[in-house]
This record gives sequence, structure tokens and C-alpha cells, in this order.
Amino acid sequence: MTLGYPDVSKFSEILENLAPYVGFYEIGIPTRNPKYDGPTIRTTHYHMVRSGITGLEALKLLDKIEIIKPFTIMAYLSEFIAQLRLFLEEAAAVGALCVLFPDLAFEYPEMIDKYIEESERVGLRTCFFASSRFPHQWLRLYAALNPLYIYLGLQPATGIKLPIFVEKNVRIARLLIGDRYLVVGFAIRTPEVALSLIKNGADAIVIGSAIIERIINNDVKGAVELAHKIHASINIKNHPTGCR
Amino acid sequence: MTYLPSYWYNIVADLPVPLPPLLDPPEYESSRIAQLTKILPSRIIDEEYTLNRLIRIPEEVRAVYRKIGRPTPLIRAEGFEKALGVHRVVTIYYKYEGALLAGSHKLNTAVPQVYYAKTDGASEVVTETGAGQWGLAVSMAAAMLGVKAAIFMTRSSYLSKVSRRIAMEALGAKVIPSPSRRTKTGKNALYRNAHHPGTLGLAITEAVEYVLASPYRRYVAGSVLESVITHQTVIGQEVLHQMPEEPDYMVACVGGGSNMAGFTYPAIGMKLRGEGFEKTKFIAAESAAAPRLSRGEYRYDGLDTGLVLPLAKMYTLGREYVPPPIHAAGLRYHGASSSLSLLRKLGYIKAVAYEQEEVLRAAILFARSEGIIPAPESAHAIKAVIDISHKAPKGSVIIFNLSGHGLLDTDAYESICNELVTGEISVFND
Ligand SMILES: Cc1ncc(COP(=O)(O)O)c(C=O)c1O
Repeated sequence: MTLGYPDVSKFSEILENLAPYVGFYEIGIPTRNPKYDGPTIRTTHYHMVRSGITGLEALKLLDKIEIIKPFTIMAYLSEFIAQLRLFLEEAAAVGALCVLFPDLAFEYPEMIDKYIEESERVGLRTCFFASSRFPHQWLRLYAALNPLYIYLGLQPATGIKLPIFVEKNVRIARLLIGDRYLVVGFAIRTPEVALSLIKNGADAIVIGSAIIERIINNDVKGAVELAHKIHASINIKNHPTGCR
Repeated sequence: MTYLPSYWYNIVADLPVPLPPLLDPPEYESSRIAQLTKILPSRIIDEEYTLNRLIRIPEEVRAVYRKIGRPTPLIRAEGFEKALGVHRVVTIYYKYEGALLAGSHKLNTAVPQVYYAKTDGASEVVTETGAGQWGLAVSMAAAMLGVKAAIFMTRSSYLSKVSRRIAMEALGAKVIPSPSRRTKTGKNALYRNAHHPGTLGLAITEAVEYVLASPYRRYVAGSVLESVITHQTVIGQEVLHQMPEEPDYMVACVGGGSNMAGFTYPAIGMKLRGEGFEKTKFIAAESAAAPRLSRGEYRYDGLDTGLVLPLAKMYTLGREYVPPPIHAAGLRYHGASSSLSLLRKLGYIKAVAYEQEEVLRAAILFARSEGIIPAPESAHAIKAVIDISHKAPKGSVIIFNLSGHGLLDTDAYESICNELVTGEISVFND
């Protein structure tokens, strides 16, 4: 969910409605350049940036919103490279479990240690993003770092479904990371696909565009129904935070 | 039976750092990435986004590989060593991809891509070409597999590489000079410059636009994409089986990077995994007309000039860059594949750039000592080998990739041969 979309009060309302079907939220910090996102999620970022909700200030908003499920933050490191410490401090202060920087490994591989150190300093867990074209050594490295979860982006961008054998990629990732918690996402829109990914080794499913599309169309009910159906189709065991 | 690889090798799985992803250009509302489903054969997309280190080669493709002349030979260049005066000092081998039916390494990926397009139900494959090596390979694969081919050929080559154009037409392909009036991009380019020589970046945009006009067309990519590069790794895997000893140098020319990558990646992969090739230096030879690895910037840029394709992080001269027309038209590309660029950035690959004349002179020396006329593109590697052989310590072993023959590039050799005949220049004054 893009932080604050479509407006702050509706945002909290939507989170509340979705809560029965959600293990944890991944909340995206609105940015002018949501570089790994597809058209649907981009729209929500642009909308929020136009409303003036972006950057560190956006993060502070979370202090005012009651979130009844655990949540993690998603942000692009390129935006906060100069304020990494401050950003992680704020994230910890508002109650996030960890901060996912999807561009960390691709654009700033040399900063992994700093990210870990700074996260630990403020009491955040770590979490790491991998793509469907990713070095095996790096997946093993991620596993060795004992993160809260490893996120595998199944498609080249959020919400875009290309003909990629994603189940196979999940199986390979699983082999490489052992029993670490594996979260998969990007363009998952049906209970059937969600279930098949779980069967192939994912521990959790992230649904973004399919839910947000409905919210953009003012169909909150539809968004909640989809969350319900997907949630019902998968049997989430051993969630990283212990809740379902 | 002789060794023919069963898998393609995907170096992405072994890279020391993750490969930066393809991105959508931020200035467009519609997604270039989403559009790939209408452009590329679906299995190419799948191979582009795989965690597999090895990708199984379909049996149908392996069968065609045998028919077109795989495996290709690894040849000791004794005559060339003698001509260089390094015989018994330095040992030189070359992997001869010119032995393939279409005369270059390009068939290694033309065959699977055309096969995949056909499996998707496409009736026509579309692409761009410079000197025509890639266009010829696609035309040949299309004829073998029974689909039509349309080739956008950069105008400077369309006018100079007549034999290759005719060969493509003889195989049934439609050859269109680029920029053309068939696409919006082509018309714009011609409007700005009626004598535009064409560039590979622009011809790609035209080919993709043409594909998007019909659901029965698929674009086949001549280089640059990681999937395309994996297809070329049959070259390097065969080399691992054929080489009598581990080389000190592996050398290849670079256009988009596919022949260099295909030739070296199986060895570089072993190096990355700590299984060998510790001492081997990997040298990329490019044209001074398009020296992206030697003088380009490492950043995100368009794969094509008109941004119909996504952005890739690579060494680039800028997607608008128009390289001067040269005989080695296959090297006139503004960028180089993401993985090759990354390996260059990390120091696993060194790059050198050469001017046309010194390259052609090297080619003539090679032709006269080995009896093979090299493609002008491949001749860049030959020039690099000459330079290395004069500096390398005694006992060094050099293997280079002779990516194609130049029997259809006689225009390139015409003036230099005339000058040699009249005694204006000498082959040996390097
Ligand atoms: C004979 C030959 N070698 C090399 C190249 C360079 O391309 P790449 O670097 O993509 O292999 C070309 C391109 O057309 C070619 O025709």
C-alpha cells in the first residue's frame, strides 16, 4: 500500500478493512520516481507526491495512523542515501518491523553492511529484495544474514505480468535460502496463483497492484473481497512475526 | 559423437553483484516492460528472467545447431604466429564462428529465437541489422523454420553491403533500409536528415514499431539481451572442451556484446566460482567509432534510440549517438549488454578501441597468413591479438573469437587492397 493513498483518512480505513486478511502490511513511501513499479502503483505515488506527501515527512505520518497489524516500510534507497540513519530511526520510531530497500543490492551493493548496522542500531530487523535474475551467492548471503524475510520480485516490475515461469524461480530461490522466510510478490492477482506459489515454496504472498487497482476505482469492497479470497486460499504457516 | 552443449549458461546466476534490472523510462505513462509481451517471443522473456544457471537447449534447436555447423572448430593460428614473428614465443588459437552456414556467430541465437517466435504462433520475425550478418542469420533461420522475415538494415550498410542484402532477399526476407518511411521514428529521422546513415539503435526502434503493428510478428534481438547472450555461450562451452591449455588471454570484438560474452562467459563463470581461469585476461576489442566500453558512461540508457524498449544499465555513448559509418557496421551500437558492462565496471574485462584502418590492415595480415578473410567486426579482435602478442611474456597463450568471415565484405577490403597493390601502404608496418 502506498502510504496515505488515496488520502490519509481513507488510507487508515482501508487498512482496517483489509486487516482480517492480512499478516502484515508493506507500506511504500511515495516518491517521484517509483522505479521498480508498474503503472498502477506509479499512479498512486504520483498522486501522493502531488498531495505533498513524500520523503521523511511522509514516514512521520505513520505516527498518526493506527495500524493494527505489523508492518514494514518499502522505500527506494536512492531517495534516502544521504539520510539513511535518520530514515531508519524514524521507521523504528513509528513501529515498523524492517525497511525494504529494493534497490539496495542493485544500485548500492557496497552498502549492505551499513544498512544492516544502522538497522540493528535502532532495533529494526533487516529484509532483503531479490529479483528473478539474481546471483545465487547473493541469495545464500541474504539467508546467512538472518533477515526477517527475503522478498523475491517475481516479475520485472510490480503489477506487470510477463510470461515468466515464476513457480520454478520460487523453487530455485527456496533451494538457495534454506528455511528462511520467503515472501514473493509482483503481479499476483488470483487465489490460484497465490496458492501455487505457496505450494512451490513461498511462505507469504504480497498483493499490491491487484488491490490498489480496485482502490483507484473506488472499489474498496472489491479490494477487501480479493484479499479475503486470497487469504482463504493459502494457509499461512509460521509467519515471521508469529501472527496471521 | 562430437561435443555439442546441452545447456546455455546464464552468468547472471554467478555474478559477484546483482545485475541492475531493466527499467521503464520515467517519462512515459505506458510501460515499456509490459509491452515486451507484444514484442519478444515469450520464451525469450522467460529466459531473460530466470534464476537458472543453466538453461536447457530444446532438442529441436540442438538439431538445427548440428545442421548449421556446430560445433565450430578451434584452430591453431600457426601461420599468423609466423607472420607476426611470435611463433614459438606466443601460441594463438581462434574459435572460428565463420564456419557456421550464415558466416557468423549470429545463427546461434537466430535459431532459438525464430523457433520460439514460431512456437508463439508468429508468422513473421522482424529485426534490425548493420553489416547484415545478423539479418542474414535471421533470414536463414526463418527459411529453415518456415516463417517470413523482415529486416531493417541501416542505410549506410544497405547501400554498401549489397551482397549480404541480396543474400537475405534470396532467402526470402524483406530488407528495408533504415531510417525508412514505414515507421514514425524512421520518418522523423529522415525529416531531420534526408541522408541519415542509420544507426542500430534507430533500426531497432523501427523494427519494434513494425512488430507492434501486427500480432503475428515477433521481434528477434541480435545482441545485448541476457537471454540472447546465453544462447551464444555454446561458443565458450565448446572452447572449454577444445582448448589444449588454459589461455592467458581471451579476446573478442564487441558490438552489443553477444559474441564476446558467449565466448568468454563460461570461462569467466569458472573464474567467478573459483574453478579456474585465475590468470586469464579478458579483452574486449571495439571500434573507435563506437567505443562505449572504453569511453562511454556507465548509467541507465535506452536499449534503442526511440525508447520503445526499456532502459538498461550499461556503458553507453548515449542512445542518440550516431557513429560514423564504418565497414564493421555490426559494432555501431551505442551501448553494451548489462552483464558485460557490469563485468567491465568490476574490472573482469578490459576494453580497447581501434581505428578502421589499423583493423583492416590486421585483417589482411590474418587473411594472408591463415587463408581466412575475417569479418571487419572480428578483425578488431585480430588487431587486439597482434598488440597483445607483441607484449605478452614468452609462453603466453591467446585464444580469440573469429566471430565471422568477411567473404561478403569485399567492399571493406577494396580500398585497402588497392593501396597494397600500388604499394602505398604495407601490411607489416604495425
Ligand atoms: C561478425 C560479427 N562479429 C561481431 C559482431 C558484434 O556484435 P556482438 O558484440 O553483439 O556480438 C557482429 C555484429 O553484427 C558481427 O556481425
